[in-house]
Amino acid sequence: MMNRRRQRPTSPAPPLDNDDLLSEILLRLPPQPSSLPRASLVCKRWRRLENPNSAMMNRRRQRPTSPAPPLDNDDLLSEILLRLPPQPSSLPRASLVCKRWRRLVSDHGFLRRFRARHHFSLDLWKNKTNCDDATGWVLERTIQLDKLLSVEPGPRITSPCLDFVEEHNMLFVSTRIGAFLVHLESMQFKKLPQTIGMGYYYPFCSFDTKGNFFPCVFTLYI
Amino acid sequence: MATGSGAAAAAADAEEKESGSRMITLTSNEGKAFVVTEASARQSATIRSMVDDGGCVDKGFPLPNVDSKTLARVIQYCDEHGNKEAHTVDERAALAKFDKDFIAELDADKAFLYDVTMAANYLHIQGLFALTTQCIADTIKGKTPEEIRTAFGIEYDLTAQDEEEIKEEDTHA
Repeated sequence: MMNRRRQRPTSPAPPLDNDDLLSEILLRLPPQPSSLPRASLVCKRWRRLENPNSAMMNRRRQRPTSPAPPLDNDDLLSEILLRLPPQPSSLPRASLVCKRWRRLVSDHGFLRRFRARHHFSLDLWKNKTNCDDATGWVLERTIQLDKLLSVEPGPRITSPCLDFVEEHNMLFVSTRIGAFLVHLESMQFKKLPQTIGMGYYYPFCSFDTKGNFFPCVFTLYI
Repeated sequence: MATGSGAAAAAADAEEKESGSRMITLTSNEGKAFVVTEASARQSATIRSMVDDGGCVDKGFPLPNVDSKTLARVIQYCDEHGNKEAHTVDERAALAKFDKDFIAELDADKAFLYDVTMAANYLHIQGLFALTTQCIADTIKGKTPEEIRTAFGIEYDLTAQDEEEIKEEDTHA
């Protein structure tokens, strides 16, 4: 055995001499199963502080019921939130949890990755009649809306605001950054001058005296 | 998975090096040694890069951030994905079944799930990381903000104005 006296540090660290401070430091040990047993093995005083009846342990009990280390790290939390389903309510709900979550899900980089993961896409189905006069829905085309409307920070398609102007083969899409008309033949899109608020809307077409086509949207607020 | 001393890894000979069937020793923060195949260890990008850099294969790899219980579970995943083939439909289905059972077991013990998530992140084991973070995301899914705060012990620090802003931004909140 080595001489214990020789192992004694020459300058004891002052915060470790104060029970309260030491408790605070031990509280911050990682939540690994080995942390507390190891701390108790240091000396009698440390062991006493780790005792279940000590003030420190009482404080530890007051901590959140399920401390989740992966959620304490911004990078890891972002990775987890990226994996939420692409439902319109996922991100708004996450931003209502606390300031930190709100900051993470509002980050442009995060939103770009979230969209890239979930590909906000639109499937266009067409009711077709085949040679036997049987009709059925056929997937005509899938439109990657997020790629088409490549505007940062990324339009969030709000689900009820979609409509199809069939006679002109145009699609009306309302997003949080504005409303767009997409021409399905050319795949060109045009941003409508006015932002469409949430409410009921009805797209229709209008022609001027020279016969030029005007896409119009009639919005009914409730 | 096999446990033993660091000396076992030193037994790897040149032929094994070429075939990739060398044994590698991983040591937990409690000093427990786990001997795994190189294929298993290579599931971890962290260890893979250390092996490829010609690092301390013979001495083994100490993992100061991972305890024995967590490391044993992580190795269970790596063994399955590193040592088994995934070429046929049946083989892939067997791996998918393994993943499903593996994560279901972890999901029942949240503290352990978090430990494994942290280890998967530290060791850069992509498949395991995706599996565990998806599992945590599934816990968040469908919960109200209030339920999320309760489930994860998060302190509510939004002001009334913050809430108003968020709700104005999106009617789905």
